[in-house]
Amino acid sequence: MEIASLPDNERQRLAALHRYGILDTPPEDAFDELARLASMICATPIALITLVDETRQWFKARVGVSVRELSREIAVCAHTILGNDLLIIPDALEDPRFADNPLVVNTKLRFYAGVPLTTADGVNLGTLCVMDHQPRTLDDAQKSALRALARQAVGQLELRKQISERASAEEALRKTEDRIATILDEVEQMKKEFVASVSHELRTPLTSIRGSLGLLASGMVGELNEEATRVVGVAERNSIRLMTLINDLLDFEKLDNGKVQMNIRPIALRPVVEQAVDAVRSVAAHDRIRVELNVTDAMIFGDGSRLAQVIVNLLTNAVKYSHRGGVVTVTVQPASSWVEVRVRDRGVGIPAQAQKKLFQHFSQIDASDSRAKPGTGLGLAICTAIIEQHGGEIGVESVVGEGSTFWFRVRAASETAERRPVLPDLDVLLLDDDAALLESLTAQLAAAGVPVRVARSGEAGLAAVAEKAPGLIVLDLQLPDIDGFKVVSRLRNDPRRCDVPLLVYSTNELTTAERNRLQLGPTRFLKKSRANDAEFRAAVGQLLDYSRGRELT
Amino acid sequence: VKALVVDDEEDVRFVARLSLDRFGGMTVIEASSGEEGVSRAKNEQPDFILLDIMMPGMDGAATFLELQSGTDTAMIPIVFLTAKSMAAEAQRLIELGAKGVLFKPFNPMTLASEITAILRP
Repeated sequence: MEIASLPDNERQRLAALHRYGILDTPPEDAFDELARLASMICATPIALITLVDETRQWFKARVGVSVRELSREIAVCAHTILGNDLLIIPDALEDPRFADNPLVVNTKLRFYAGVPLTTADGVNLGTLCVMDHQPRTLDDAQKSALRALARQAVGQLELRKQISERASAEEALRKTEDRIATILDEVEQMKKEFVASVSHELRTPLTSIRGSLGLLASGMVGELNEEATRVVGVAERNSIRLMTLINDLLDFEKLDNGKVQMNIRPIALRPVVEQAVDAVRSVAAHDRIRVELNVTDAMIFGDGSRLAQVIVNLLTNAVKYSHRGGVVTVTVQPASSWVEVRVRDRGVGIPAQAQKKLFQHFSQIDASDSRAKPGTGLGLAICTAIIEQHGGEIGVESVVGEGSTFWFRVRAASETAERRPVLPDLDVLLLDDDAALLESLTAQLAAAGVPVRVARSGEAGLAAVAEKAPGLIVLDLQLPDIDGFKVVSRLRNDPRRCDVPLLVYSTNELTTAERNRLQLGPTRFLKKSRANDAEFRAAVGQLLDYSRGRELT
Repeated sequence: VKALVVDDEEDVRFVARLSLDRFGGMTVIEASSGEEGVSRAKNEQPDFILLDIMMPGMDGAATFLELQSGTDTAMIPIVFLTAKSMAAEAQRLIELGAKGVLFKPFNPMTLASEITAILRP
């Protein structure tokens, strides 16, 4: 038996073969079809599409053969790929190269005809071949058909390679995009941590500076003349300004990271508004600006001190941008399910394109706002974060030259909410497929006297909610059937269920964008690793309180 | 030497005035806006103007151009006193003929001598 020599371009040939990524892949119809056609046209029991690698010939498509590969040493095709055209062996027993080949001896193969699969680069990857158990040959029509089918097989290999190259390019692109998104999230996180830690560091020395200046100003450490008093006054006033700025930064950082737990419950809005107006009255009086109140009694769901902070912020802006001697009006407008608070000034107004940017961080520091009055530019960002955590809305209407109205809306509560003594018995729906965690959470809640329902998939959860709205849904974002984002969006799109509070936990820290997608109603976030401790129980308690308040209205 | 300090922040004007007065022996007049700065420059002909860039209404650049185009104010040297973030804008204005730029926060003890150094021919 003669073992085939290696083609001259063997290294290049093998490299090309591996680039096609076809070896050891499952059968494909396109190749199977070509082998069947070859077998039919040539009227042979056997037809193969083979690829010859370092040690074997592997069959991409096979008719009449059960093995998937053969050793290259005994492969007839190893001879075919040495040439450039059809190799025909009419009777192997008569051919000294193959007479003692085990294929001929054992499997009684006599006839072989194979065409090399030649790529555009001129390398032979393998063959399309037909075989028979008796000596014979092919007529001219069969020969040209076999050559044509071989070209088809090469075309199919090329097509396959292009598709897989495109897929891997797309895969690489997707991976790059994922990586960039991860890096951006990490940068965002680092930025937040940086802001928080730097702000803390800045406060320490500033406290000493403020304290010392305060002592100097008080005259306790020595009498100051008039000019020295003024110098110290400038320093003290500006150190307070700097402190306010740093506190705003810290406050915003906490709100933006969901580190502030709001105490949202039914409260009367009037005292909140009055408290806020009192806080800015002296500043307003300094510029002879009158603050008018147009408040009707209204019960809302809110955190009183946080909402007062929002109103103070809006009022401070209104006063700041009012003309001397102007009027600022605060109006409370109750609607059926919302209560709207409007703060109106008759100042210079805000151009439409600037209105959009207003609620972004640091927007006042933008150089285009030349009215750089004292302020951090964080005020409206803080207000937005607070209102969003109330599940409310905030916005502005403004006409240049006529003034601006900043407004926000929070949910209305009924007048009787505070007085009703009996609390409805609300249950918690646990939506997770983690059996161990479910057991532990159920036990914790049962110990606290909270009735629990359990659903182990997104669909089961939605069905349970449809059956009876729970007081709170505890949701794992990773569910076996539909993902948590979809569950939340379906839940929030149902008008009857859109305000059921949610406690969402996830294995990974959520990005701000992800939180925004989930925060379509009252929502609290927790890392899954914290779903089993006091933080979880506290969050459940608060959200159920919120629900009870809602239930009473 | 008569200095005109134009800045919308009263506290900054106050500290600058005290610095120029005590450490440079200068007479200092103030303006709280670009418009007021132009008018005081015309009427009182200071020896130089210390000008803020970020101001409401007529900002530092507009004030500078207004002063440059006035026959009786074009010759008054202008030094910008501004935040570091406005360095590029200050450089542009220096190319248009301003004398120099000093950045906030400034050292009250050396402000006068730094201005004198910039103005020295």
